[in-house]
Amino acid sequence: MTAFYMFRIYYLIFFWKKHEVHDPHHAPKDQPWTMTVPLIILAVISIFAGGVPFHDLVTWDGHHLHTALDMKVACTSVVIALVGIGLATVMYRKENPLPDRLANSMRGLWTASYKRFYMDELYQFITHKIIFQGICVPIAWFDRHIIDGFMNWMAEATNSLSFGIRRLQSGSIQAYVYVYLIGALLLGVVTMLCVLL
Amino acid sequence: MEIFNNILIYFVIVPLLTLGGLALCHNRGIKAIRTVAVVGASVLMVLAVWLVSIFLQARGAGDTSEMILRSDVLWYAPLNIHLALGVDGISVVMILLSAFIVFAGVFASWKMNPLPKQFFMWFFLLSTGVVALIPMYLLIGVWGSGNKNYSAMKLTLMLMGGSAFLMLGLIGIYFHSAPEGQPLTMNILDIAHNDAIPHGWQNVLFPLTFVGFGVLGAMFPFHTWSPDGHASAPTAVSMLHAGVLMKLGGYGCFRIAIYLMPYAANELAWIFLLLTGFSIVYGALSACVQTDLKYINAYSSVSHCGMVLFAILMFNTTAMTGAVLQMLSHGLMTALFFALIGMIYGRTHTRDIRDMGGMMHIMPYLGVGYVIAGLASLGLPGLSGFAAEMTIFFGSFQHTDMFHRVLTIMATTSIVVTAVYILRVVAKLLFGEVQDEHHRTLTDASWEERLSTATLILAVAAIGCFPNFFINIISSSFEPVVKALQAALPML
Repeated sequence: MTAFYMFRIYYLIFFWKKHEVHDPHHAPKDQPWTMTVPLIILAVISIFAGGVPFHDLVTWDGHHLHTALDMKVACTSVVIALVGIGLATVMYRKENPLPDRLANSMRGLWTASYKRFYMDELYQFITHKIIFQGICVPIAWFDRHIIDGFMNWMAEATNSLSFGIRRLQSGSIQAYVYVYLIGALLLGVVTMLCVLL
Repeated sequence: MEIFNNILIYFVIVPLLTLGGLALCHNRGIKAIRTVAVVGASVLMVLAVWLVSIFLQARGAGDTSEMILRSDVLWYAPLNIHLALGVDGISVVMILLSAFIVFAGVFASWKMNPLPKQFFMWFFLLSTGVVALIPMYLLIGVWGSGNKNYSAMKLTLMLMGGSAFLMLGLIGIYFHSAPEGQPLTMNILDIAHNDAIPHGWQNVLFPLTFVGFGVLGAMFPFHTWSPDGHASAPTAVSMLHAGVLMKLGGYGCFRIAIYLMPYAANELAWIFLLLTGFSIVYGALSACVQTDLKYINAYSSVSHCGMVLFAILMFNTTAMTGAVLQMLSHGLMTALFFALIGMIYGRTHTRDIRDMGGMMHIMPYLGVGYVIAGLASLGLPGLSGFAAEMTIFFGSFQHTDMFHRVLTIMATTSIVVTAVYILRVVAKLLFGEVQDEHHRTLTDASWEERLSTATLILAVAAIGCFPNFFINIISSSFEPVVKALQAALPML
């Protein structure tokens, strides 16, 4: 698969169609040396990277990893890779209707693959609809209206309580005497009732 | 007086002297006011750095006593109340933190208007830390913005409510501070060594003190003063309050509640672990849908301060060290956030992220500062948040039982949520289309604003790059405490 898609890209960019140059100023140019040199270095390194003895360098228990080259596995993968390259060559070496026909014959699969199997849409749905709208908004509401609402309610309750009992401290002697007399009267009635019963 | 030979008393005296100096300035002599404020803040900074070096020398010389630089003066004989000073590693880094924030705060309020003299006087009174709430009330009520009267009243009343719990707890501790027949004391070290509080009483007093300090540390469900209070407070007050005073909550929970009552701490830790663990996730999720920059930060503080209390309740050196690192980290980066938000608000006159966009082109310095603060907040390696949160979760996961591990995993999810709300703001505020054409004419940071934010950014990066320097100072102080705790707690 990797061999196939890498060569597909390679053919599509460099072969498929002749590039038409409209404006000579914007024609594709070969890159400057600041890009060429790093490219050469990276290319050389990637050719020889396979030869680096990683099994001697990587370890998890202090011992070297034991690795061996299994010819059967190696040959099979090389053959499959060659098939992939061949397939890409047939399909994309020159401009031809084959890829479109293939895409049309498996429209659903092609669309899903083109949309990266809807992973981005899924993530977008989970963050926006579920986490933001479904969890964060209710939590923020709960915080403002229930938790903070309770604190505000306590303040208001204290206020209205003070407002309600403020007449007890009116400073008017007559009112105090009035309350005192009613109290004394009530006490007298209660005492009499107790004595009588 | 022998106490004046102790450097610690000067952390109270210097702000008071600055306050006195400010009082002598002319009301409109803005240059003199600024000079006095800068000198005061700089002296505090130098003293704090000096204190760190004294502390390191003492520890290097093999002084392993719990607190160094102790001095003690009898204040009120009938109740045996002393003015006692002393620092351990935790206090040393907290003092350093407050010195940094006061310094940055002075420059952040450079153009304070109206009544700059009175503002700085209250600001320095606040920074003595002796009286915290009353200056807050006035600073928000007079120099605040938005619904400031409501917010100032709410913040003061809620924190007073917390203090009422605390007062009950402290009086209870005092009356059980010594064994029968010995004089009662308020000295923390003596109370801890006496270990005379009966277990039944511990179970009553521990929740009182923990909730009392927890209110200050914005613990759920006592956190609602924080969003309103911060939203209305002027920049430097938000900085000092979130950066330093909220740390009093975490510090007090450890130093008073857990240190003095280890038995009850062990018995009741699960309740507060649930509350603080919930705070962490709850704060982060609430922050995701706020639209006011200061509200986002206030809810983010609920989440981060929850982490501090959460880690303190883990009772092991790693997590507790992480808690103090988190206090430092959160203090600096929240101060940085509030400074930047204040500067942006001073230009745009709005804090609603829906009304802003593309600020990165208009004010690149503030924009980059905001991104750095955001990255520190979401725990990027190399900045302070990573070192702190990593240590906390590492320490919390050292517990092998299901309860602690499940809670830790839950708390860890907040890291992802933090990234969501930070990047959401960065994307809306700094990038995208400019929402208001007037914003194109705004200017970038002035020199004093650059100095203020650069101080904090450097400090955030210093903690992130050299966490070991701070961890060594802090953890040496936790080891004796954790040993004492473990002796008292059979479960560890």
